[in-house]
Amino acid sequence: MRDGIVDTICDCLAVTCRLAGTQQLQQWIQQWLAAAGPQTRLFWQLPVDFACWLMQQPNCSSRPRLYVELIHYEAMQLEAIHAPNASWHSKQQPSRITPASHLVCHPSARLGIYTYPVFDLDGSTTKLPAKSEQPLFVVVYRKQESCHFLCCSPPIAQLLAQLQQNSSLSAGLAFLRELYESVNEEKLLQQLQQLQQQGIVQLQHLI
Amino acid sequence: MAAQKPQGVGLGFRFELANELLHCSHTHAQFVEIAPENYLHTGGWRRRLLDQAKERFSMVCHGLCGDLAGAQPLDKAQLLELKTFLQQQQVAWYSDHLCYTSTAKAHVHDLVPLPFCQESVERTATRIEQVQDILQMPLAIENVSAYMHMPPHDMSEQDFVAAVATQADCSILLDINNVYVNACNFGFDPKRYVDELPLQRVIQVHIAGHEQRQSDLLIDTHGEQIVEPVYELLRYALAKMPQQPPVLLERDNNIPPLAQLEQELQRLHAIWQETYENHTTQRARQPDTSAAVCAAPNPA
Repeated sequence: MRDGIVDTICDCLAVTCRLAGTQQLQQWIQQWLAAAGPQTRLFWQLPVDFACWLMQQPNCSSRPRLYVELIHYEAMQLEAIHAPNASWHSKQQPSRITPASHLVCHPSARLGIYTYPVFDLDGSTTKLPAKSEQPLFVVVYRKQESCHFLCCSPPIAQLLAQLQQNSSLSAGLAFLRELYESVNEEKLLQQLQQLQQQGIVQLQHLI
Repeated sequence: MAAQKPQGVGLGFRFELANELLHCSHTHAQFVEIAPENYLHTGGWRRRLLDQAKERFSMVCHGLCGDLAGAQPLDKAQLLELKTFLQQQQVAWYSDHLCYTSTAKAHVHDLVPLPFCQESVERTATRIEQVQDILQMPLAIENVSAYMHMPPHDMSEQDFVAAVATQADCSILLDINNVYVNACNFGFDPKRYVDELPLQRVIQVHIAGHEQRQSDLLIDTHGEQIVEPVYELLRYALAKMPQQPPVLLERDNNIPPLAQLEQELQRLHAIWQETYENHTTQRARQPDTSAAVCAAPNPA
């Protein structure tokens, strides 16, 4: 059965498998099985379980950070693809967002912060990317059964994280004002408008 | 809407086969079986396929990780979540394996056999009663394949299954291939196994192929065609059962095109139909049977 778990996870982490090599990935999975093992009873969530464990481990030379992040990104894609459906229709027309609007995130939306641009890797080349000078914020989401990603600014990522915790938009903006010296609300609202067009957020009253 | 009781022959609903099965013009599969664990907490294409399957077929749900006989405390929240799912799918019953599937540390994602002893009967039956109380629907326990006995081993497997089912007052999902595999691996008579079960409790039958690793070691792979002795054991078991349970073909590995599986389904349907007709004839010969006999269903 362990072989079944290892094979399933390798299949789901296809880019990592190609870049790091199947044997290497299998070895990391075996380390996880020995140290912690599956905490989920849902078979499809095993790669997510493995990725979460990996992210919590201290940095070590045998598990390069690039691959840890890539595994996390691929697991996040899997989660987005399988996440529950939104309660709103995907063809809903966007409407204007104001600071008083009540917004909700699509259930598939997942946020990631990476030091490598792992979202640019598709396995078509074995050339590995350089570490980014700044942390990279990315939102992964599902649209019409396909997985997409969008790079975003740190404030937008933090705002989305607030919305995912059921905060109102006004509370989210207040949270950002505490974090940053200046917050360009108009720009943030424009960016949220774009996220609404992608189906990542929706106005509560339209649901 | 009332749950639809499956009849005849069915097929395990696998993603690899889903599109072909859902869009074919004719199939011998009259119902499908799904694993709730493949759909819980999901949306997207998985839920779309589930909805499409429900539109075309009657459905039963078969758990993989219920830990029916486990040593860990029952997870009530998890069971209530399962109950909601089963109600949404309007299934007539729910089945899971008579085994452990987790330890204190992790879910093992495997079917770990139980010790066959009275203490294990008591503990497992109590746990199954609790599960039934929460799910509020008929629950069937499935005999699992095994490659070693878990000590203590004081009774036969069939006596253990019978005792648990009787004490918990639950149904049985009889896996014919598992009986055959265990009979070969442990050297017992598979027909005697069938004879010694409370067959009136069998609500569903599973059948599958296995792999022969050595002359005395069979592995329950669900990845091969059904072998002749397993068909024969199915025929024997169905003839002995007072009611005619539906039969489900499991194919989880090395999945061939649907056309190839249809050959197996067709043969299973013929066996099912033959024993059904024999049962009907026997009932007709009895002086007064008030039992309602349903018309034999035809393949979709």
